[in-house]
Formats: sequence, structure tokens, C-alpha cells
Amino acid sequence: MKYVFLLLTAISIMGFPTNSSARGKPTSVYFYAWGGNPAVNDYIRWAAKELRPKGIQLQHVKVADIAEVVKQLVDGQSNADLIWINGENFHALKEADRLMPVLTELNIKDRLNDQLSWQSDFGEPVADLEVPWGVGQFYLLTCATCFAADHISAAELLEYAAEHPGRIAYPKPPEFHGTTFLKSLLLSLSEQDEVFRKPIEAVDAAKLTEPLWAYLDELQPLLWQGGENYPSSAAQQLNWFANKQLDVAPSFNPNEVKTLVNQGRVPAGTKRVTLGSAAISNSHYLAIPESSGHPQAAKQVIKFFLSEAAQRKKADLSGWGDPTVLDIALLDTPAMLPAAAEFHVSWQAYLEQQWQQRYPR
Amino acid sequence: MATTLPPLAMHRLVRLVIALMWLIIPLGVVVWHNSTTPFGGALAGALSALGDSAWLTLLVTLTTSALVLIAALAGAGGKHLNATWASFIAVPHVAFAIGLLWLISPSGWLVRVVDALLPMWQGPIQSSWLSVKSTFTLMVVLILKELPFLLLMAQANAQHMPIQRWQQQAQALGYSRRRFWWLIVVPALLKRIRLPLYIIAIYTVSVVDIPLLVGPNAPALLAHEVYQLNWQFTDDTQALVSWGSLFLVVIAVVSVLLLRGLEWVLQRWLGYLALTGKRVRAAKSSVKRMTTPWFWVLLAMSVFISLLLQSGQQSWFYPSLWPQGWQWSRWLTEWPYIAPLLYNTWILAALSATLAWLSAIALLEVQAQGQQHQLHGGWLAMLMIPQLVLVLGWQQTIGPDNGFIGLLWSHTVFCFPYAYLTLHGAYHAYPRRWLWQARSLGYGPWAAWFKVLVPMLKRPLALAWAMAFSISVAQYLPTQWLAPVTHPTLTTEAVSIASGGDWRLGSVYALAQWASVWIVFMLALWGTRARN
Repeated sequence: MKYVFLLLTAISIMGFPTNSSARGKPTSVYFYAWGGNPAVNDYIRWAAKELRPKGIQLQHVKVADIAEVVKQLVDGQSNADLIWINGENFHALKEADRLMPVLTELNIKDRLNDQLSWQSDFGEPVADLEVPWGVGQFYLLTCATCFAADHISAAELLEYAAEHPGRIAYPKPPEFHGTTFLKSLLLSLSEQDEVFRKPIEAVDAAKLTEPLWAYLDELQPLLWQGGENYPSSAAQQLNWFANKQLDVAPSFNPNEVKTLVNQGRVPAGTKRVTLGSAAISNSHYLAIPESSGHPQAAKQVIKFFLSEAAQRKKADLSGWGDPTVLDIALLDTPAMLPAAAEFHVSWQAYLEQQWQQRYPR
Repeated sequence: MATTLPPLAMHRLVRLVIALMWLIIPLGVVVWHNSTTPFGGALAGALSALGDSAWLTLLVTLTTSALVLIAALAGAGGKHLNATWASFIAVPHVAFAIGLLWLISPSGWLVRVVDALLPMWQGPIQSSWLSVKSTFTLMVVLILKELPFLLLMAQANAQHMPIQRWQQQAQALGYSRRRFWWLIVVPALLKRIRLPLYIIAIYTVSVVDIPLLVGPNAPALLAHEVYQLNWQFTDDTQALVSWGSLFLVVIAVVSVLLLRGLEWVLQRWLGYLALTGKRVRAAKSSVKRMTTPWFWVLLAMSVFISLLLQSGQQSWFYPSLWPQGWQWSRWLTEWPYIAPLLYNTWILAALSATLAWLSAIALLEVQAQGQQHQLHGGWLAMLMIPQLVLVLGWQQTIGPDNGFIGLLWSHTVFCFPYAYLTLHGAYHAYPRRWLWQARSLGYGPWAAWFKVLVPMLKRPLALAWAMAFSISVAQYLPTQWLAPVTHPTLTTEAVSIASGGDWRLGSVYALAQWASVWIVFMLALWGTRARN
């Protein structure tokens, strides 16, 4: 028994990082970011290794949902130095005046790819408060033989669901893939898209969304389990898709159709198909809270993340494969999808509430 | 010490300190927080938003608790605590659910076997019974995970009942073994496992991680719903969180009352059967007790094999029976990141288990000296309140980023009642005349205790420590909500990885978690085995 103890002690001591060896005490930067994707985690580990010689100890505080931290920041109880956000979360923090202006100071605007329309985060001006880090485009992963075209309309999806009942699903809103699925349907069903970039108070939301609810009433009984249960997350749906329980899984990373195959998460031959004529596109951002204890070091980290080397590494298909926000050419990455503008942030809560009143019970 | 304080005052002081540390202060913080927080929103609104979840939670809680109770009563005649049980209790809940789903889900391994044997058949099946996500699946997982704990408690209690003597009398009166068990032993046992049963019920009311993974979500269970609402930051969701927490407490109380009612009905019914029941003339001689719980061995083995294969596979899609590619190097590349988490987990668990264990021993000793042999439910109060409500109250009072002491405290609060509960039976069954004899031979009170009692009770003592250790390892909410930056553990890491659904990496962490607890249980069992 003694030997077991000795062995365990030895093993655990061997494994410890030896912080004491660094010259001077490195500045810790607490980076709150979603921790569910091993490829993203590995990328942040790589960044932490690169930043150590610069005297920065980048600590990835993994959260299952970044909203956890947003709430703490709004309540004034957080030690976050750097956060990874967009959309609703940014909107809430901007409203509560919890973010530090950083974009101009970092002097990287010229290097950003302006075609990505990163200046507005879900219709909300970025206003110097956050720095774009990567790009999201919403589409569906699907099996090699499920759909012939590379984009399908809402009507075609309904047709498919009628022929294959139980094979289509979407994560339960307010999960953001689920909400974006609704937005894509809405775009496909409406002739216009300009109106959805306005706040809901400025338009007749009830009238605009009527076709969506009528459509969902038809789709709902054809969903997985007759719409009585939903995937809790895109990740869960991805696993079911990979094991042939479903024919589609949502994704927000246009390169994931390649990276997930490389990682062995989905079978080879997985295709991507856009729901509607274009993919709803947005950016995800890095921001520094007002309350950060180490704002200078956090800015250093952002600078590093926006460097060409770090952005190329991030876009590498053997790892995370997140598209770059810089104006640089990358070889071997799948083409970006035709982009549709993201809805104004106020639609998020509206669609979620309306959906919840109609369906889950 | 005994010279400075009279024994009675000393006893009172011990009780007071323990109660203050692990009950009154932690509870007071929550009560103070909740009574000073304004309650927003109307009851009607909260009921319409959360009412369905609340009903579902009550239904699931009562069904699982009642089934677990019946199964535990039926199985309590089995073999006493052994390595199988301990290994099983050590399985982290989420890991268990993942392993089980791998076996029985609609694209799980069993379906794949059928698929391989019947080439005509096109899988995977579209069942909503054992679907990856349904109320039924949730109940199966909960029952299988909770049953060993109650069985253990039932068996430990049955050990202290004069069953042999009763059985001889019952046989003489012509009762079959089964009738004897249900009509004579069970009524006595029911009362003794009341508290562990309530603990299971409350756990079901407040568990979050398992429903997130396999539970229904339209509507979801209440704790799951409140947990997710708490992440949103609008005022009306915050009002819903307050109402939801209150509903959780109400459901907990109602469940316990209904289970007490169930016990009453069972007692009446069994009593009625005993008075009017038939007897057989020549009762069969007692059947030898089942020696190995094969069902549990197989279940634990398949969960373990599932996790191990998952942790080493590169890709493994339906309908393959065997992984299509391997990547065992995952263990090596991940090790530098697991090691500090192991250290964090072990240090925290060892310290909180030790604190909880010492407190439990002190309390039991004081109670034994005072001739109070009843298990006192008040000491288990922290297990009777949904954990979500407690941790939320602490977090909102002291903030999300605390030092080690606050975290240690929160863990010990949950470890202490389990240590007390696990040790209670054996400690009070201990014949204290041995201590008096030692005293009469000239040993001091401490020496008698250490040299006579401890060696005789070494196994229950070791197991109580192991149990407290395992409880600390499993804590998610207190760690994640009170000290996520300063003290990440295997469990918090495992949950955040689980949110991304990559079970290959998730299994590595689940196995590390399982191994941590398993090693401690095995050391406790092997280190204290009887030597002939």
C-alpha cells in the first residue's frame, strides 16, 4: 500500500507546472471563455505558452456558458480580465457600462477585414468596447446523401421532414444555435431582410413573424420525438448527428465541416448546407471589463490574439479552424458562405419568448 | 480538557461548535440573504412559467424514490458492503450516465449488436422510451445511481437487527423466508432507512448535471430550469429564479411528507397482511444469501469499459461495434493539465473529508456518552435543502471569487452529514463495555478510545472518511460558483468539457475522477480488512 501512495505522490509532483522558475512574477490574466471545445482549449493553451515569455500568465477560466460571467459583471462581482462574447452578452454589458474602451488604443483597425461588417455586433455598434476575434456563419452539417443542393429553403426543409419524420431537430431556444435556426427560417420565409436589422420596437414584429409560427406549426410534429424534447445544445445534436440519429446538426463555424472530420467528431463525407439563400453571419469578440485588475496585460493578450501568427494558427484546419478577422489571404480553407446580416439584438429575446409561449409544453 | 470543564458542559460545547460550523452559520447566511432580497414578480406569473417543471419534478422524485425504496428493501438481505458497492458508489454521476447511454441509447452498443446480427434491419431505432433524452431515461439513470446508496444503508441497518433470532421464531411459526422478510424485517427496516431515503429524494429534487444531460427539456425539471435561468440577467428572470428556489424547497418538503405517508401506508398494509396472512406448514429452510451482486458488477464493468474505450478512440460512429481509430496519446498530452487538477481535487477532498470526519466522530462520541442512540435528523439538515438554493445564497452573499477557506467550508458542510450518517450505525452498535473495561484496567479515556475502540471500528471509520472524500470530489456547484478561478477541480473541468459534448476527452476526466474516489475506497477496504 505504501508503494501505491509513493507512486501517486511522485506522479502528481512530476505533473505540476513549475511556476517558480519564471523570472519575476508573471501577471495573471483571467480569461473567461467557453470551455466546451477541446480544439479551442488547445488553442488557448498554445497562446498561454506563447505569452509566458512576455511575462503574462494567461489563465483560461472555463465556463459552460459565458452568460454566467456576464451576470457576475453586471452584479459587480467578477475578477475577469478578458472575456469572449458577442450579441446579447455584449449588449447587456454595454448597457450596464461594464466594458473598457480598447479598440482605438490597440491601433489594429486598419488590419481588420472590413467586409466582415464587424463594426456592428448584432446591430449594436461596437463603439470601441470590443475587438473582433473570429467569424461565425450559421449553417447545417448534413450527411453526404441527405440534400443534393448546397442550400435549402424553409419549404424544402419542411418537405424533407415530411419524407423523413424524426430526422430533423434544432437545439431548444434560448440556446443560440436554436434561436439562429428560427432566424434563418424567418429570413427564408420573408421576402425582405432589411427589417430584421431594426429594433423590434421600430417594426411590426408580430406581423413579420406570423409566417414563421405558421411554418413551425407544420414542422413541429415532424421533428425528432415529435417536438416533445429538444437537443439541449448544438454539441448534443452534433453527437446524435454523428451517430445517425439525426440528419442535420447546426454549426456556426464555416470551417467546421472540415475540422470536425479531422478531429473524428463526425463521419467523413459530412457536407454543409445553408438554410435559406445565405448564412446568417456575425463576429465574436474579445472585451476587457472595467473591473479588470490587469487591463494592461489583458490588452497585450488581445494584441497577441490579433497578430497575424495567432490568427493564422487559429484558422488552421488541424486545430480550431476559426476564420480570421484580418485582411490576409489563407490557403486551403473552405470558402466563406454567402453572408446574410445578423438580426438586431432585440429580436433574440423576442423570438425566444414567442417560441417558448407556443411550443415547449 | 476534562479537568477544566465538567463533562456535560464539554458535550454541549462540542455540539454547539459543530452545529455552528456546519449548520447554523451556512444556513444563516442563506436565510439572511433570502430574507433581505426583495421578491420580484407575482406568484401567478412564476407558476405559469415554472408550474409544469414543478409538477414534473415532484412526479420524478416520488416515482424514483418509491422504486428505489422497494428495490432496496427487497435487496437488503444481500451481502454486506464489499468492493463492488464501493466501486459503484464511486462512479461520478455524469460519467455513469454517459457510460449507460453508450450501452442502451438508440444508437448505443446494444442496438449496434442487433444491427450487426440483423442485416435486414435499418437502425438506429427511433424510440422515445430509452431515448438519449427523456423523463424515462432520466429515471432509469437516477434509480440505478441512487439504489446502491440506499441498499448500503439498508444492509448496514439490517446488520444491527437480530434477524437470525427473529427468523428462527418466524420459521417455527411457519412463515416462508420471503414472507418473514417482508412482514417482519421490512417494517422494522423501513423506519431505520427513513433519513437516507429522504436524502435521495432531496437529491433528486435538486440534481442538475444529470437532467442537463439526459433529462427532458420541454418542460425541464425545476432545478435544471432554475440553473439555466440563473445565467440570464434580466430582472424578470431573476424574479423567476427566486420563485424557483422557493418552489424547490416546497417540493422538497412535500416529497418528504408524501414519502412519510408512503411509509405509513406500507406499515399498515404489511401489518394487515401479517395478521391475516396464511402460513405454510413446513417452511423451507432459509435460502443462502446471494453472494455476488452480478447485476451491479456487470453494470459497473460496462460503464468502466465504455469510458475507457471512449477515452482512447479517435472516431467511433454508428454502426461500428469497435472504434474505427485509436488515439491513446490523448492521455499523455492531457496529463500536464490533469495533474494540477488532481492535486486541487485531492487536497480539497482530503481536508474537507478530514474536517467532516473528525466532527462526525466527535459528535457521535458525545452522543454515545450521553446514551443518545437515535439518528438525529437535524444534523442532516443541509442534505434536506436543495443544494442549488444553498449555494446560490452563499454566492450572492460572499461573491463568486473566494479563497480556499470559503471553498473548504462549503465542501465540509456537505461532507459532514454523509460522514455522520455512514458512521452512525456502527458507532452506536459498538459495545461500550469494552471501553469501561479498558478504563478499569487503568487506561485513560483517550488511551482507551484510541487503543480499544479505534482498532475495533477501523473499517467503518475508514469508510466514513472515504465516503466524505467522495462527496467532496463530486461537488460541482459549490466549486464552480464560489471559487472557479482559484480552485478548478476535476469535476468543474469535466462539466465544462461535457458542455461541448466531446466524450473522448470527457471520458479522460471522468476516469480520473472515478479513479480518485475508487482508490480511496479500496485503500479503506483493503487497509482495514480482517487479518486471520
